[in-house]
Amino acid sequence: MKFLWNLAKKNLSRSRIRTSISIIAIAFAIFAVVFARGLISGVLESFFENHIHYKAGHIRIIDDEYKLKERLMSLNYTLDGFNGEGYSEMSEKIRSVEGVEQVVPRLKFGAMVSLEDELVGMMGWGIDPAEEIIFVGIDKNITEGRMVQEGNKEVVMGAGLLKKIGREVGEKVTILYSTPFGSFKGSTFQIVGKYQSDIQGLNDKLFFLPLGQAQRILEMPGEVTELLLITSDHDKAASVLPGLNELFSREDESGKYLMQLWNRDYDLIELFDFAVKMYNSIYVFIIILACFVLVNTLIMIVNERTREIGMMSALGLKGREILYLFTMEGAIIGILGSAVGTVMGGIITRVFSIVGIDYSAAFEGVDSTVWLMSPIYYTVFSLENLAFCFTLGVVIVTIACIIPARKAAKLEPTEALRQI
Amino acid sequence: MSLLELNKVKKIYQQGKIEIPALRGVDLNVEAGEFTTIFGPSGSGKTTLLNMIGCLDTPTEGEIRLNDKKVSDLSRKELAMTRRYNIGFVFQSYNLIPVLTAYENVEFAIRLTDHTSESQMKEKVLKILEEVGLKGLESRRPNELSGGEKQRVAIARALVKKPKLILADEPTANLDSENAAGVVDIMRKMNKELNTTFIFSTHDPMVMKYANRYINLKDGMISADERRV
Amino acid sequence: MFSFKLGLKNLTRQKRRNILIILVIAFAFSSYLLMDSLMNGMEEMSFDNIKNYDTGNIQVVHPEYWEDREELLLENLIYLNQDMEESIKNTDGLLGVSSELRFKANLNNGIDEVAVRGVGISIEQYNQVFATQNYVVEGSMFAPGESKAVIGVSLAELMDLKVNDYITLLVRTKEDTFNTIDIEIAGLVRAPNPMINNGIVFVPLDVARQALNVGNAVSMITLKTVSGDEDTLTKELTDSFKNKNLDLKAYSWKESASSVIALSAAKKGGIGAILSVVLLIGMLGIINNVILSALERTEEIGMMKALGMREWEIVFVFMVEATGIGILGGLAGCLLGYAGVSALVKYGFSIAYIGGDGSAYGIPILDRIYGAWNYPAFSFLFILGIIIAVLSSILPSYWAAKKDPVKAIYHR
Repeated sequence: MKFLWNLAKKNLSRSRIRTSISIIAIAFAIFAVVFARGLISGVLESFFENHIHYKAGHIRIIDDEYKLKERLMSLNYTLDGFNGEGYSEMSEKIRSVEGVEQVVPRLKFGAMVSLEDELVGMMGWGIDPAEEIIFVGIDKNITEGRMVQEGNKEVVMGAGLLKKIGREVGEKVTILYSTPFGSFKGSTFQIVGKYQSDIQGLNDKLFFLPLGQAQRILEMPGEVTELLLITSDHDKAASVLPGLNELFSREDESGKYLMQLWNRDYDLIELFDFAVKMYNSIYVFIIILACFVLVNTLIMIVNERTREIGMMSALGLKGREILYLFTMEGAIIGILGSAVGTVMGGIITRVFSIVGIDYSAAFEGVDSTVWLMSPIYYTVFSLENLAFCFTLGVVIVTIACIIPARKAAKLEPTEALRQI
Repeated sequence: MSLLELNKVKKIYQQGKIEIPALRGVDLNVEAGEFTTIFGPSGSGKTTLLNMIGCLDTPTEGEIRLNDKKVSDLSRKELAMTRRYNIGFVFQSYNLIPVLTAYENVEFAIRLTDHTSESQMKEKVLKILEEVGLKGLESRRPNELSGGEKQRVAIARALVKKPKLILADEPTANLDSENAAGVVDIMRKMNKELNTTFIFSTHDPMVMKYANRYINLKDGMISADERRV
Repeated sequence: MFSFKLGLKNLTRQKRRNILIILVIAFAFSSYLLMDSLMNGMEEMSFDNIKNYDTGNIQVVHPEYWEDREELLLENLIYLNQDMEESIKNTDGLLGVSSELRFKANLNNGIDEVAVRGVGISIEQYNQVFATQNYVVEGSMFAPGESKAVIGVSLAELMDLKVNDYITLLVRTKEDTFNTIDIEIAGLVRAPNPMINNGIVFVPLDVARQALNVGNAVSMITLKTVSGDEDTLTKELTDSFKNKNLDLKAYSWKESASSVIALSAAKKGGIGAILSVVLLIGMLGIINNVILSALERTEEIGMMKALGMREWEIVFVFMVEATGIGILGGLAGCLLGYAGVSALVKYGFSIAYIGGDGSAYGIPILDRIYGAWNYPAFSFLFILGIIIAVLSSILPSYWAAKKDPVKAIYHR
């Protein structure tokens, strides 16, 4: 078989221009696919990261009814631990489940600041600063001042929010809110930091305060609205579910808690899943189209060498060997084209993984608190992507080559020799 | 003044580092109306000589004069125009366009030269096809014609524009002897009727005898040049 | 002319080869047309959602109010007077006129509270301009004079509300004091515009005016026109306000749709990119076909040269052939696209199976997207196909025509 491979290689240099065009076509298709996949996984990764950081964790534990009332930022459906023992004991027990690396508590509530002529609505998050720094790296987004510290009466506010209420870091702010018991109250906090993430919606609405302070002012000690569980790998988050279920069935008598997996229990993710599937079929189609170019060339090669094929069968080459010879010729073009395309795609995804593509114009006016979208996308440069695209190219091209190669293999020797 | 004059024409092909001399100095005069055959074994330079005469190729050394014009002085455009108006080619492998009918293949040549009315053009094409004996086969495509018929279409194509000179490179090589004789007969007939000059190469002694001038080419040189009456 | 015919006949020589490339082009075109049609359909629906449920065709407001219109402040309101009414009445081509008072409110069901947009309307006027009444799924719109409210189904679900339940709207008056509107729900709507479903409470105009203590003020006057007339009427109205020295301006719905337009431009960029990738492959295919044909026909090219054909004449023959591929591909693509778009326009495309309710995410579409006709796209693509074919055939045709005649005739 080795000599057939060598012959295939030599045959390709018979008409270099024809071979190069086919290589270019395949390379171009693979290049486009590498880039598109890199960009889309960049968009997805950016979205998933925000989704995990600001909403879902890897697994989110909430009160079953909270799911429906989340939009209201209701404080009537909270986590108060197993049988009311408090969230921190619950976190402790959850942490002991195998695979859970971190448990991040959050207490989300609605609040307002009263200005002279209007009330500015805000979203308050009571957080555990240490856990958030590990999980989100929230401190990196603080552009001025510092992170809140547990125990102090202080807040960090989004840059847009500060602008809206006309305050600076270092000043005080009085925050208005309702407790779960319906009483309307106000508390004054020191603004110690300014927060700026790439999600405009959060910058305009969000402030943080230490969880203990939030529980104190809202009169809900030991309660949070949600616990975010972090595992070692978000793609394998589902693997800790059995352990959690076991823990919950043992500890929790009420059965009121709900575990939400980050990629399964949110409608928006399904939408993305659908889009990704659609894109995958587009990739395959683009490569198939590029194969048309190669198939044309191969059909011509077969026609041109009809006599040669006759001679080979006369020499005793089996149909399968002729099939192999011609398939190899196409496959070499596929390998070369895919390699060129992969390298070029690798370069461009690498460049855009550093430079980024700015989409802010397109997202103007879209509610970014809902989409959790950053306006600048970075393509993902990953060897997995390159390997996938290379393999996809070689496999599809090789399969496509079988069609003309079969034609060659099926020729009758006498007929093949007779033709000019 | 001769129609064609060759003066010490040499042609050397460069193949990599090796120089292959195809013609080593050919002197030749051809008068209008001659029916000349160039005879010689393969590799003797027949094709090279015909290409040179037909303005398809240029000599390495020496001079070719066609119609008293130096071929080497002509621009690419003038060369194309010379081929278009003055020279007809007939090839060993016919070189007909497979998607065109016999009629259209002939029409193709006249379209390049003749800009008279459609009806006159049609008349000319039909007449020449009739003269080469293809009446009734005008609408056949090359793959529906026999080898002899194909070569007759090729001759009609060369003749239809009434060139001064027709060059035929081994026109009978792919034909059996009966068809070969037929094709040469037609060439001879056209030569007589239209006074068209023919130069054709062959290695078939049977075909040779029709010619009124016989040139033997050997190793790129003329070894014999005889005229018969 | 003869060369042209020859080029066309040559097209039939390697049918399968040419058909494959025609398919590539046809596929690129038809899928572009389909996606373009869907995009336009979505865009049109989004526009309808803005026009039919939010802004009407034209909004008349104070210029200062317009700047901060999202804030729903009770400043820069319009106090209707004769001059204004005359200006509007004297404008031809208005199909409906409705006054609205928009305000911020907190909807309370006794347990939870949610921020909503309150809209005070006079029901008869409102129904002339907007289509909301057609989407009442439970109960009915309130009758004129009736002191009842209409809310969206999603909002009702969120707050556990049913028809005939009482709700409390917590509002702040113009003087910044708190006030409440206690009102019974008359009906629930499920309009294609998700904003209506999620966060709007309609109340009678007089109820709102009283609660907010704004006298006979309104935030805006919305107008319905024949679509297409907006721009001229907007200008006419603004001029007429200026003549009467009124501090009012008319705004077409298009100014509220800029974000939709920006978003769909981005999406169109995306499908444009896919189209160009496929078209580039098509170009390579055409180049390849010309080269393959030239390789196959070297002897023929040599013969043509021997016949005295000039290079550009040979180029022409090859280009006609390649252009034929472009035309056929474009034609096939447009035909396929025509069939597909017809189906999309007629039957629509169900997005239900994609999973998830798009309306929750600000996508103003419900379960089915219908395509829209975009005839210029067809002619644009057809011409594009020809241009691409011509462009991509020039170089390889020259390559073919440049071949040395001697080598060509004797096949190297």
